[in-house]
Amino acid sequence: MSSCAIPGKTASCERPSSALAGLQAAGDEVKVIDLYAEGFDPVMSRTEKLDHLGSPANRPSLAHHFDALQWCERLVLVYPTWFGGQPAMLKGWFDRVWMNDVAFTLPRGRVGFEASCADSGGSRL
Amino acid sequence: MKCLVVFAHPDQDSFGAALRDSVCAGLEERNHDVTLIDLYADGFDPVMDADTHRRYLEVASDHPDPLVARYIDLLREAEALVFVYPTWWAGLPAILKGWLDRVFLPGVAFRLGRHNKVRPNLRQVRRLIVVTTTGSPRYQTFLLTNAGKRTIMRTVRLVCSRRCRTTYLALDRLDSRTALERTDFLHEARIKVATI
Repeated sequence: MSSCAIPGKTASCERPSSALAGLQAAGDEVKVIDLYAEGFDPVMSRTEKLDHLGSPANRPSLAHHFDALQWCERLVLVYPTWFGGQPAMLKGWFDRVWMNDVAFTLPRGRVGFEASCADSGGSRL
Repeated sequence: MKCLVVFAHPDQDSFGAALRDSVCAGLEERNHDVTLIDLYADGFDPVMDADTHRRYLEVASDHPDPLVARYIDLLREAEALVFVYPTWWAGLPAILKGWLDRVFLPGVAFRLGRHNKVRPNLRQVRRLIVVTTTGSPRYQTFLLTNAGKRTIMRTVRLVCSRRCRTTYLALDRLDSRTALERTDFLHEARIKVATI
């Protein structure tokens, strides 16, 4: 899966295409999430924050993100570094999509989290 | 000192909101001039759009978004910057990262010198303070390299006064803290921030 957070078709936008071409040439199955193109809202709302340990089913608008994240075996992030970090668009993708029961599982009554993505083997982060 | 407090939490009943009030009260007790920016309450959109991105080098002089133009004016006035936010994924909430992306523009926060080298343009900022909370224990945030702390203490620090002093206050393991521990941290933040 490739996640892209670049506004507009500027010169730098050639890069996701070449990353994509490379993956396809290698015979990988590729799903692309273009955060700007789909108008993703990176701001975690109050409702989502209060429900941050709730079920992913409570966020139906993010279902395709959850599916793609749990489907992929390799994650490719394509973004410009702004102010020493990820663009807000991409940071918000982590804030909102990498939630309990999707990217990790919070054991009941325990603090800390365990990775639930396929390759992690369930080890503590 | 003219203090700009930037607050980023979606819930007005949260511990983060209590921290914001404590920090502002502490500063006002010492007669500092406090201006609060509440990013969620302002409905700030942290996404830099394609048009602004294309005009990035000159957009500050005539910014199309009046809210960003107001933030630019406030930033130019500030002598101390205080950030109050919850640490999410070892970093800044998107709304705060986007505030840096969209407001810390060339001609505002920095100038581009020879060979496009970044030169500080917020030389009046002499104090930089972070007050935050984390769900993870302190060692875990450290091992995850604490991107939020780095972004502010290093990248933002780079465009401030060369003598700018920094303070980082964090309450870790927030979810398992007792009411007393939380109250203690509110008190600590109030005292420490006020003595800038």
